[in-house]
Amino acid sequence: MTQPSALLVLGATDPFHQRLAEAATTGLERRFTVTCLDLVAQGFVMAMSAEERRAYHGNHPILDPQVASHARLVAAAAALVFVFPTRLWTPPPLVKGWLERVLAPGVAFVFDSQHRVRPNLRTVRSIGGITTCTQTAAEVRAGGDGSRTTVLRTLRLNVPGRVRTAWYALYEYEAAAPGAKEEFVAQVARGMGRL
Amino acid sequence: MRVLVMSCHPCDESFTTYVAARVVAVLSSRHQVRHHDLYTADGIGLLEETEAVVWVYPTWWSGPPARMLEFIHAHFGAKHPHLDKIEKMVVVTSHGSSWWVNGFEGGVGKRLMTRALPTLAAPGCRTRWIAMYDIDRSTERDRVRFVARVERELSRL
Repeated sequence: MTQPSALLVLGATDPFHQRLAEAATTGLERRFTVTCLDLVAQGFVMAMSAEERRAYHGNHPILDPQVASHARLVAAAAALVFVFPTRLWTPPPLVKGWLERVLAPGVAFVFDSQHRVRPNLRTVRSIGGITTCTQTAAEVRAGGDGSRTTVLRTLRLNVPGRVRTAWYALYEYEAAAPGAKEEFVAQVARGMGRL
Repeated sequence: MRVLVMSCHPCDESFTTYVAARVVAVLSSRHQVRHHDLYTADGIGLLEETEAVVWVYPTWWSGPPARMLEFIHAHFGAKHPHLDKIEKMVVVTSHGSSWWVNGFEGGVGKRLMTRALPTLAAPGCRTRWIAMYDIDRSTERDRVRFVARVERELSRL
């Protein structure tokens, strides 16, 4: 029997976030076949082009072959997991651009006859996010906790059924003791094993 | 006031581009205005000598487009020496989805732009949120009315 697939989207290049991605992969591999999209290594272009924007509401909104290949992975994924640093309350622009370009109409959502948005992530059963924040938990919340809300609410709204969600954040990351970072990595591996 | 109008849209024929042009026209009679679109300018040095910023963009995935977020991360991340001159921020944005859907999504963009970012600007920096919801299903009359509201509010800046 083939395992369901998990798509891990990585939006960082530094060693710690690479380790978090590896830990998440190790956990996820208990139940999923994991594909990692390292957006920086793949040279993903963050900004939607004028041509893409003009095609957005048409029948073929995806023009770029790389975006199309990512969209095919999303359409087959049972789990979507993100690993990125949160700075200024928000995900990295590259990850934000990935959502804008890959999760286009026909992929994440469709428009109904009255042009209302309807969810279309039909295969997704789990959504997870793993992040580090330079600020405290209270400061992140006060600013709207954009990373968490974008992944666990905005993205989640595109799944028609029930979704299991998980969010792991290491706050005050730059001041964290090595032991705390190690514990966070272990926690991520355990948590993703249960996703 | 020295005002920077910062817009972000890839298409010249877009509603955002039109609204940004109206914003510039309204402000120019009383203020010293510079306008840049982040699809054509890299934004380096733009915040120098700026007392007010007017952000004009479409809300995509609960927030400003990636290219505007990139500008924000580049210029508000480190303690930029020019930020504490910014006394006022105005956001003019359009949402594809309705007001209640954005409410459920947590109003991420609104909180980021009107509550979080101003904490990095001048103490007591004032903000104004001017948003059009459900633009994908709007009529021309709705859009004309929104532009009139933008012009009215910015004429009082």
